Amino acid sequence: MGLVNRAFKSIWRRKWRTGVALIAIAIAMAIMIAIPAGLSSNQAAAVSARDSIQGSISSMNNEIQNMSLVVEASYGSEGRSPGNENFSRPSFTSYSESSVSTFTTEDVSNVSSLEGVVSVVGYVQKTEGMPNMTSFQPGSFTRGSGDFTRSEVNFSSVYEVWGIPTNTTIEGITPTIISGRGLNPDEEGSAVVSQTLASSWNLGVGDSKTIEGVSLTIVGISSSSGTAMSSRVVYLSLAQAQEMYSMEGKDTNLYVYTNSTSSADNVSTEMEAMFSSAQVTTSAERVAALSASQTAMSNSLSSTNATLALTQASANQETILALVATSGIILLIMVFSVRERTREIGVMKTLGFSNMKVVSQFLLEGLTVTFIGCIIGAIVGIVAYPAISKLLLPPTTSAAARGGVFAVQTAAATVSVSPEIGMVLIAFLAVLAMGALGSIYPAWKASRIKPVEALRNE
Amino acid sequence: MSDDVQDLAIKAVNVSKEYDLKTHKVLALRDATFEVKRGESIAIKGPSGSGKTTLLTMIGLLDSPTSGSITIDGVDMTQIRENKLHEVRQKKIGFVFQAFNLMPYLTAQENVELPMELGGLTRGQRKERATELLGIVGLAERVDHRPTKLSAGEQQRVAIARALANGPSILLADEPTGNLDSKSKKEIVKLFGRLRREQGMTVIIVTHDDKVANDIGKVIRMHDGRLLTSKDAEFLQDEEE
Repeated sequence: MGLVNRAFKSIWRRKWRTGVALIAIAIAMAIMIAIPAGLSSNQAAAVSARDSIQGSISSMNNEIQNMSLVVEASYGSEGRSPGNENFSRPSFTSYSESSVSTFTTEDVSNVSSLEGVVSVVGYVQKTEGMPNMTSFQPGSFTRGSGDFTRSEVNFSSVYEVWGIPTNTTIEGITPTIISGRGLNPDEEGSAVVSQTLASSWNLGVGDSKTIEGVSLTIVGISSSSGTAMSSRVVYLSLAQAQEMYSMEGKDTNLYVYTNSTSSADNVSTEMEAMFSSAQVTTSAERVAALSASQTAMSNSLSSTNATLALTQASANQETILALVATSGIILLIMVFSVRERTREIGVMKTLGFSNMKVVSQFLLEGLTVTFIGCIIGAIVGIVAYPAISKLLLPPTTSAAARGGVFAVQTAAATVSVSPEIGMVLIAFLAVLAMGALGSIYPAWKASRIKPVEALRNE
Repeated sequence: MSDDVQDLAIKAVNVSKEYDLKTHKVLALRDATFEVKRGESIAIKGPSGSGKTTLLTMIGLLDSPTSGSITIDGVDMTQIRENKLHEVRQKKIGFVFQAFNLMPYLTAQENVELPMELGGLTRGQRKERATELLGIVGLAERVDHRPTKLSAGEQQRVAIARALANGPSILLADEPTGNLDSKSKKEIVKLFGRLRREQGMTVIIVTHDDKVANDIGKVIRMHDGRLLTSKDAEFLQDEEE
């Protein structure tokens, strides 16, 4: 009959109290495991959100650099330019085909002769698959707010057809091929389709698609980016598009490279005068549009960082609370237990047990209960940490979503981090230490009582 | 008083104990002086509140006297530090209570083994000795029973076996027959006599039962915290009559 055996028997005798202690300790342990794991998940989500936002800001900065020398003019699907494809689509009325004018070869020649113009690239941009517009009220796509106001009209069938010059690369326009190949100059009967559109059509490289009565073979798939609209594009060679829409030698959009920022401003002013019904997007406007979205993204970044800090603070508070509660509960249970067993302590001392031996007995009992509670809590914590952390920690993902970055919301929702063995061990030791502290004080106090006083206790 | 100190198991000189009850002080023991020889068997008798249990707890080192000295086997216990007294209690003294005070979650054998944990015996030796002691007190067949499954007399015999666990030279018992029926009382008193005769133990029993006191042997009477002389005792007895 040793100390450990006796401790087990004593614990087992007080089943109800042991049960309460085990539950309290297990809860504390589970919280201590779940909170850091949940925190890691939230951090991973927030970091992913932050990286995504920072990536966007960085790519915008590049665009701002490049764009300062570019002027774009367009008829029809206006607003489609490298800088603002996602952010300013003022009105769907511009999709009306009836009012579309074109840039002629002469227009290109005139623009080319403007001072400061380095080169002019024309291309064709058309919208296909438009639904019946009678019930549609013009709305806006504004990515910054995270709000789509599409009214009742279903735009899921809408896509764009771009006739592009294939002998030059225009940032934001020339497709990035992810399978198959790109288009050759003036290639006819072939098309590159963006990934999103290809998926929605359930078509791949080698398949055919008829547009405006022309059968086209898909030779390549390009990566999709940006909003739903701009990710649904069929790329044709410029010649093919011009032929398809019966606009040989004409373009709907002009992309004008200039030699300086001030030239870009002058050229855009002159072009506005030259093409009064076209939309001429100046670099200043696009930079402003980009800056506005950058600000929105920076706000989103701040929000993510703030949520991260809030989560960290909550986690710290809850972890400390769990530890304090554990030691408090163990302390209460031990104080109660020791008081109830004061007479037993008196008997032990009468039999010759030293104060140290008495303390050891109670400490061992406290630690045994704590140990078992820790094991139960560890199992619960490892299995149920997502639910526990969700319950206890503020959600990081919703804050990111408020910033309006949909990709981030998706990323955050799928990031999950399992509890690390190191964290489990730390939690185990911390709770065990609290158990020891909670046990040792009442036992030490009781061991100081004179045997005769302890024996008088009923 | 004996001059042969070597022959004395216990010597108490002017032992007093005063309890401070905040509102007033109670002198529970007044200048108790007496000697007990080795192997002697003594009953301390007196009415409730006469100080007999207080005297026993002083001898058993469960409490310290306010003044006076208690010498056990020639060593003045009042000079030993509080944190060393447990060794004397463990090695020299066996204590039996009226309420038995057995650990309810341990079997008879485990209860007897409990003090042996302090004596450096192996697990096997402890088990063997516990079985032997339970045999001595007539409970060889009840070793695996918990206290709740034993009669009051059997529980007290387990408590006596436990008191003998570390081979003490002094056995102290506070009203050991107080909770027992007359048959069990006789058996326990007989057991104390046998332990004194066969093991040469010094036995001191506190009781207010005349029959038990007379069967034990020498009787010390107490009244109002004082040990009574023969003359005092006769005077009080006449007064009672």
